[in-house]
Parts: sequence; structure tokens; C-alpha cells
Amino acid sequence: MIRLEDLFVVFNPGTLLERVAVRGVNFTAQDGEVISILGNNGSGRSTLLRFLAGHIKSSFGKLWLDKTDITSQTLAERSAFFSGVFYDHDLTTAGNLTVLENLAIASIHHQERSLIEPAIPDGLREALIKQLRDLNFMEMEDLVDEKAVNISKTYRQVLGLMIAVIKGAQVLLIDEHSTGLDKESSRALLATTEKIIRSKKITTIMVVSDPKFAIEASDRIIVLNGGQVALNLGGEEKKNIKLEDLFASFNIPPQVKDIKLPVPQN
Amino acid sequence: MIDSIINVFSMSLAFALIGLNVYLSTKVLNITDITCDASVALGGCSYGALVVSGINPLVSFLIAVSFGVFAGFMTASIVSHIKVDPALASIITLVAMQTFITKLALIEELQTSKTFLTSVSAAGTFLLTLVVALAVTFLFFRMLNSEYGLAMRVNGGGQIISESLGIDSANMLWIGLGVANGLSALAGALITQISHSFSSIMGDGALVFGLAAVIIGETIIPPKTVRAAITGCFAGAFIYKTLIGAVMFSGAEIIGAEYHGIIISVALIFLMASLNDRKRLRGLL
Repeated sequence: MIRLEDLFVVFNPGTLLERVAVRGVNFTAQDGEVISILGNNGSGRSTLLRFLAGHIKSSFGKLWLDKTDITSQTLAERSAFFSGVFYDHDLTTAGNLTVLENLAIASIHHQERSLIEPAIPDGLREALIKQLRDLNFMEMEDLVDEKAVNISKTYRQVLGLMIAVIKGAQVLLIDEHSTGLDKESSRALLATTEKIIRSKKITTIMVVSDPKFAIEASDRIIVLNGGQVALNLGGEEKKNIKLEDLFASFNIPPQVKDIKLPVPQN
Repeated sequence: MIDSIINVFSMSLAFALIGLNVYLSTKVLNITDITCDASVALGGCSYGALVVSGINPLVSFLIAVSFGVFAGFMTASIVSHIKVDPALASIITLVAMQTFITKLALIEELQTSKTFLTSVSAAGTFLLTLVVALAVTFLFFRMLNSEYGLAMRVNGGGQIISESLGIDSANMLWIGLGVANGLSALAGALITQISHSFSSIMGDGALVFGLAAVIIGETIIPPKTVRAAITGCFAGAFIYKTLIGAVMFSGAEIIGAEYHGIIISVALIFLMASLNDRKRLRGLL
């Protein structure tokens, strides 16, 4: 379970360029729950995801994983149980490694590494290829020896998902990973994404450009507007929501009045 | 004459090690590291000074390499602790090391009697260089394909990706720069042994040479795998060194020594043009 309490993210605090990107966001994601975050551009979706991943720091608020406060954990510490797949695939997969090497390094993440032991010992290669074959994604297993920079973006994002699977991540963060792909590839990628997060029961918080998919694939929908939560629908409420109402909520100012930033910690 | 030719081969092996340094820092770790120039001179001068003072050559080799590793650590610590850009950090190391290099180079004048430095024949030195270079390259190859090496290569892709796989960026930099500059110092020691002399300026331009070796190597053998990249370094260093050697030998009487530079660059342009045009030697590796 991850819980977000009164999260504020402020860029350039105390300067003329100060901008409050996330303004008092609260929500809880149960284990295995899939949450879609919707909203217009600039509503704070990506900032929220980047904070969760540990790329940027919060100005106020707390992040809990089960009963541990992980707010101040760095990207390196947090990534032991978080994994991300972002629009910028260079943040989640290593371009100068082959597909297989990417998977191999994910299998020994956060461990002591040997200077002598080969990274891909006998057996690991076959095991990893088998995992790709089981995934059954457009013959990806034939590309294992290609460098990740040389494979298409669709494969690269699937590689990001597989790294999360092999890392055994508890929480998966997805930010616009299908944006910029053609319709066919985008659909295939989203279908595989859904298959992976459902079969592995990974708690997922995702931002996807396709609202239809977001509604169908997720258990809960959170609409952000101006950095605040405008709607938070789960269960029955989520099932009954109409697409038009959802889109309308993107532009309605949130119910809560303008929240002031509390006195920052430290 | 025959000794000179053998020396060109030995030199190209030694310079290939500098190529490996440049490959490790620019291609694997993806940083600009200029410490190379200092560690070549440091390795060469300390090895020479120690041998001239009567220390066992093998021990001298090891001490020379450790000096290079130390130079690499110094750059890495400036980068990771004071958060200085690697290029500037290595310039700082370069300047600092110049003091030691100048002091060590003074010892060459003391060389009067026959020492290990001058008593080994050209063929013997070539054999020594070959064995050392092959052994070191094998270890280098093993390291880059180890779990650690893989992490090092991930680190070249940026801090976010490496940290998200639980890789300690600073640690990679320390080991990476340590190994890279240890290689350069070893190359420096070998160069001293091959040329029977050492000076404070022997490292100048080593980085440029290493870079040339890597780039020429990449043109001949596309660096698809680590093995191809390493082989490329050796091929590049050999071609570049042989080219320079050939011009030195043949051109000296015909056109005069001051025109060497222009001839070498014209020859390189022709070489690269012909390599780029032709179908590359793909199936080779």
C-alpha cells in the first residue's frame, strides 16, 4: 500500500519563477491496485509521477510505503521496490546495453556486484529469453542481442516493463509510455502493459494519453487539475462514470479552495 | 632498422592500452577524462626512475600502475565529492601530477650504468609488451563483461537509469577511472621500457592518440560488442602508429621533418575516406 499525504511540489521556490506544480495531493493505492491519473497538460500528472519515482523532491508532504515513511529516500533507495516506465525511455532502460544485458542487470539490482563473475552466466540467458517468449510480444525474443538504442520505441518500453517484472518491483510508475507511437503499436503496448500489471499484481500508478484505456484498465481514476485532486473515483463510481463527465472535470476547478503551501519542512 | 620496426609494433601495443583507457572513459563511462596524459607520464617516469635507482623492474611496474590508479582516484574524488565537471577535475589532477612528473623525470640524468631499461633487446621488449598487453586486455575484457562492468556501462547512460537499477554512480566512477588510468600508467611504463628513456613531456598528446586509436578502430570494426571495441582499439593504435612510423622512415629524406604532420593528416584522411566508403569488415567479428 502506498499513501500520499498533502504532497506539495514547488519549482524554484522563493523566486519570481516560483510555480506550485502539485498542491496538496492525497491518495492511497492498495496493494495490486491500478490507478490512472488523468488531467490536462500542466495539471501536475508528470510532476507527481516524477516525485513518486524519486527524480524530484517534494516541498511538503509525506509518502508512505506500508508503514514506512519513504519521503526522503533517494531514487537509488526507492528504486529497490519502485520501477518506472517513462516517455523518455533513456530514464528506464540503458541504451548502450543489449536487451539481454538490460534484463540481466535488472536481475541483480541493488546487490553486490562481482568484478569477475560474468554478468550473464550459463542458464540466465535461456531463462531470460524464456520470460520474453512467455510474454509473447511481437517476437521480442529475437532481439535479445540488439543494443537497446537500436530497437524501436515500442520494444524499448516493453523492455522497461520487463525490467520492472524482473526487478520484482512492488510499485510500477508509468508516465505516457505509449505517447508518440503509432496506433497499432500503442494498442499492443497498452495491452501488454495491462497483461503484465494484472498477472504480476503490481501496484500501478499510471498516466496514459488514452483516457478510454485508462478507465478500462484501472481500478481507480484520479483527475488532477491545477495540481489538485479534482476527482478520485474507485469501485462502482468509476464503473458508472461517463466519458463526457470525466472530460468536463478536467476543466472544472477543484472543489477545494486554493490551498496555501504550509510552512516548508526544514 | 629492424629494431626500429619492432619498436613500432611494441609502441602500438602500448598505445592500444591508452586507447582502452579512452574507450573506458569516453565510451563506457561517457565522461571526458584528460587525466590520461598525466597518468602516462606518471607511469613512465616513475617506472623509469625506479628502475634507474635499481628497483626490481616487476615491482617498478606495479608501483607505476598504482600511481596511475591513484591519479584516476584523485579525479574521481574531485568529481564525486566536490561535484566538479569531470573535464575540469581531470585538468586539476593533470596540473597537480605535473609536479611529481617533473621531479621524477630529473632522475633520468642519473642513468649512467647499464640497467634493465637499456639492457633488454628490442625483440625482448616486444615480447614483454605483448604478454603484458594481452594479459591486461583479457582482464579488461573480463571486467567489462562482469556484473560490475555491466553496471559501469549502464552508468554511462546517465544517473537516473543507473540509480534506478541500484547502481552507485560514484563507485562506478572511482573504479572506472582507477582502472582506466592504471592502464595508461602501464602504457607509460611500457613506453619508457621500449624507448629506453623517459621525460616530463612523454604523456603530452597521449589522450589525442588514444582517441585516434578508438575512432580509427571504430571505423574499421563497428563496436557492436565489447570484444569488437577492444579489437578496434588495437587495430586503430596499430594503424595510427604504423602510419606515423612509415612517414617518419620514408619521408625524412624526401621532404624534410617539418612536413611530417601534414603528411600524416593527409594520409589519415585518405585512409578514413577509403574505409568509410568501402563495405566495412562486418563479418570479421
